[in-house]
Parts: sequence; structure tokens; C-alpha cells
Amino acid sequence: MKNSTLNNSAILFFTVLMAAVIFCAITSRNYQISNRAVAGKAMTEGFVSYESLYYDYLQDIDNGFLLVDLRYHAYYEESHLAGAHNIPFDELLQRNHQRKLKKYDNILLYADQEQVSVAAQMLLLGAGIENVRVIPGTYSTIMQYVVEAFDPSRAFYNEDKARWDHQRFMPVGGGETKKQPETSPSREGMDPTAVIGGC
Amino acid sequence: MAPLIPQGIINPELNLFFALLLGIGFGYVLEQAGFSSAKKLAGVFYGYDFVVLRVFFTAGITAMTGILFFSYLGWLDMDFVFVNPTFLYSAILGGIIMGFGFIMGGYCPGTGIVAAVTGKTDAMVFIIGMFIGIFVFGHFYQSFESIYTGHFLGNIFVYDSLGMSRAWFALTLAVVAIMAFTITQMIEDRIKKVSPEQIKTRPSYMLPSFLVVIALIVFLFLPEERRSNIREARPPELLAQVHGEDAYISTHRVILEIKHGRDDLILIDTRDQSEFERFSLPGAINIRADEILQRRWRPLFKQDHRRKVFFGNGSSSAMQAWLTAARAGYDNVYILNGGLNRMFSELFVESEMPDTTAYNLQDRSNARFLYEARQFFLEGGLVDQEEDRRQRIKAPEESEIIPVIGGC
Repeated sequence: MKNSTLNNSAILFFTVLMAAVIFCAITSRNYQISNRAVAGKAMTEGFVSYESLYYDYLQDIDNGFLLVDLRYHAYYEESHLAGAHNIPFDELLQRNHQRKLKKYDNILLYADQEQVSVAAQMLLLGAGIENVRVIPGTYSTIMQYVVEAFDPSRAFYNEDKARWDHQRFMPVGGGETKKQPETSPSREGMDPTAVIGGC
Repeated sequence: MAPLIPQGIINPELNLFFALLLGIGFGYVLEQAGFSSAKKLAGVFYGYDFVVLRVFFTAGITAMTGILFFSYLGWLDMDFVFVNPTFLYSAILGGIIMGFGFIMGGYCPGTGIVAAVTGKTDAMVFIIGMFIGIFVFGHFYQSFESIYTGHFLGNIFVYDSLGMSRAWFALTLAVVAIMAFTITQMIEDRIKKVSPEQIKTRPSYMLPSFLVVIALIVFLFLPEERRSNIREARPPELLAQVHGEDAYISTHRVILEIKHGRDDLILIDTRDQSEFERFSLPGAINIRADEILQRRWRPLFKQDHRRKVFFGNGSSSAMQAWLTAARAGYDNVYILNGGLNRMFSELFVESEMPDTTAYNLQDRSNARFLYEARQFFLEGGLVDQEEDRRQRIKAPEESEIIPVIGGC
């Protein structure tokens, strides 16, 4: 192979890779964190329990966290949790709010619907504001079970828990049963004709 | 043709045909590189010819750089790439046997075949020996099995074992390769007694080496995963859909769907698998929020134009799934408003008696609809339905990974 052919191929390979990386950087400015990472984070560390809210936060209001009330101004004016800062959900992406939120490393969200807090949390995570968690339930359940009188039986309250014995009210056939993946080492699943070799 | 067959671009039936074409190409390249000569291949062990080391290191470094960037850019899905599982005992023993065979025979399996095709008698004898080995191994497999499957370590990577990041390992490997090239070239020149004039006229590999190192240094500064891509929906659009309630579908619509066994909606249960197995709506499939982006679900979201309805017990897990899907640019996705909890409470608490006194005809009609649905479900109407009235969508296989049959 001629030296110039080798050099030209290398330059082409390098240029294509770098051009693609630059293109990606330009077209991915809407989010700071990948979709997969946001979904994983929201599922694993998305909620703060009522127990933790009561003992770790509301008892010690000055420990450097920010409570965010996502309801409309009018509802917030009527009543809100002590120390809460009001950012209505529809104004969540405004720059001034985001700048304020970025200053805190522990943010707790609540709204009048749990799923609105979840949506806000995921949008904020996508915008690169981490350490955002959701207080489960709604403003009224937080007031009822935590603020007015802490109810230990609701320490892990969550709107997403099943409240019905579904099968009793709506008998249907069983759900899809998925095959558990094989955990023991085995070569049996591999194609017997495949020679996996090297030199 | 690993990435093209699982994607459905190439028919799997043609696998062997493409294998033949690739094999011919690979054989041609090996022959052109001079690998049909046992002297050249064995030269690496005696120090007079390191071309084998240089060719394979170059191929490895180029492929590694390409794979790293391609997977980062989303052009190559690493989930589809088969990683050879490590069975430590057989790897060590196999390596020793292979090394001895290589020194004694002067070939490795692939180059042996290339050399035999070019008419080298020693390579033909080498291949006969290889087949005897394969026969012995196959015949006495039972005796070898404990060694063959011994000390299973799973699909491990060198950089994990070393506790390094992938990017640092790649850069280190490239630097080591370039150093190896230089040192082996010097050894080779000394043994062959090459004159300085000849060395000056040799092609220079400075530029390609430099570009590979620069590319891998750039890779060091790239995040683990791309933050976003051009297909993703913008945050204000998502916010507007949640805020404007466009993201929701009513419980009545879903009740109507399952009561009449219709197939207009795709119901997606976003709860845990254990809850899903205990109970789910007829025909529903189970996809949690963190599974939405798996490639196996892409045809469902991209090609099936029916409305997809996420539901959980409440709306939170469905919202997580919805936002993930909507951000990924999947259209026609909705959330069952209030989830199963609201649906059951509307059906079985608020509908005990149809309100026949309501002034509004719409309210009366709704009440009657819910009352009839309640009676239908309580009396086991869904159990009596024929099993295939609402077709359950079959979950695609986890991943269709085709082992890459490689080697030289």
C-alpha cells in the first residue's frame, strides 16, 4: 500500500469520527443527561418517604434543602408547606427558576398530583439539575399524614401502590409469565456449529 | 453480518452466503499480508519478522477506535455485539495448546487454510492435524467438559478486571501498540541488518498513529453516553403536553376497550413484573420505564401506529414511562389517568347504582356505562371471553445476538 493511501484513509477515518462527534455535540443541547440515565435515576432514587420527610427535613428546616411547590400561585398563596418556594409547573423551565434550583444540592418537589411532581423531577434531571426528589402523594396528603400529625402507618405512602385486590373484582387470566434467564454457566445455548476461535 | 441480521436488514437464511463472501475477502487480505507463509508467521517468535504482530495490533486498534466512537454516536448497539464469555481454565489451556501448535506448525487455523489453498503441503498436513484435534475433542468431550466449562467468569472485559475506564484502557492500549511497533521494528532491523538508507525510504506510519491517539484522547473527554440526540422531543413540548393534559387518556376509553375485547389500544403495564404477573389488564404487556428504550421495543413504538397507553397503580410509574418514551420521540403515547386505582374506584365504588335522576344526559349515560361495565367485570366477563379476543403482544427476545465467528 502506498504511504499516501494509508495517510489519506487515516485522515478520512479521523475526519468522519470528529465531524460526527461535533454534529452530536451541536444537536444535543436540549438535555444535559441522557434519557436512559434520567429514567434510571427517577426509578431508583426518585422519592423521599414521609418518614424521612418528617424526621430528616421538617424537624430540621435549616439543613440546606429546598422545598418546591409546583402548584399555581393562587393555591400557594392560600397555604403551603413552611419554607416552600413556589415554581408553578408551567414555569418550570424558565431560566431564572433553573438558575435558582442549580444552587441547591437537595431539592424536594410536591404538587397537587403526584405524577406532576414526577414529570417535573424528570424534566429537571434532564436539564442537569440533579438531587431532585419527589415527595409522594399530593399537597393535601402531605398536610394530612405528615404536617398536621405524623401518621406512622403512612410512613411509606405512595399513590402508586395498589389499593385493590384486582383479581377479585376483575377476574382475568394470569399475566404473561416470563422465562427467567439462565444463571448457571452453560455453553448449551450457544450455536454448536459456531467455532469461536482466534489465532 | 451481526448488526444487519438482528435489525432485519438481511435475511438470516443468507447468513452462510455472506459468511462465504466475507471469508473470501478475509482470506485474500491474509494472503496479501503474506500470512500464507509459515516463515513469516513463525518469524514473530524468532525476532526476524514482526509483521503478524503489527497487522493484528493495527486491526485491533482501528476496530477498537471505530467501535468506541460508533457506539457513542449510536451507530452501533453494543447490546447486539457478542462478547465471548470467559471460561478461565479452557482459555489458559487453549492458549498454551494454540501457542505450541503455532510455533510447531507455523500457522494458526485461518492462515493454515489460506496457505493450504495456495498449495502449501505443510499447511495441508497442518489442517489434517487440526481436524484430528477437533475429532478427538468432540469424541472425548465428556472427559474434557469440566476443563472446558471450568471457572466461568461471565462476559468480562479487560478494563473492568483492571479497574480502569474503557476510554483510558483504549488510549493505553493504543500507546502500547505504537510503542510495540517501534520496538519490534528496531529489533527486526538489527536482526536483518537493514541499512539506514533503506530505513529512510520506508513508509512512515507517524500520521495514522498520531490521529488514532488524538481520537482516543478526544474520547476520554466524551461523556459515557450521548446526552441527547436530534430525534428527541424538546423539554418545553413535553411540559406543554403534561400541563395541557394531552398526555392522558380517560379510564372510560380503556374500560370500553377491554370490555368489548377491542384491539385499538396497546396497553402497557409499567408496574414491577411481580405485580404484573399477579394481575394485569387483558392483552397488556409489561414494560417498566427503564426498559422503554431497549431496542427490542423500538418496532412496537415506531411501527405500530395504535395508541399506546401506559398504566400503573397510580400515575407515577406511567408518567416515568411516558416521559421516557415521549422524550425519545415516540408518538401516540398516553397515560391512563389515575391508573388502576382510579379505574377500579370509578368502576366499583362510584358506580354501585346508575344515577337515573341526573339532569345531564351525558352524566346519565356515563353512569349507565360504568354500571354495566361493573356488572360485566364482577360476573367474570373477561374470563368468559375467548382467549384471543385481545391479542397479547408477544415480547420480543431480550436480544438476538449472533456469535461472531472470528479468528485468522
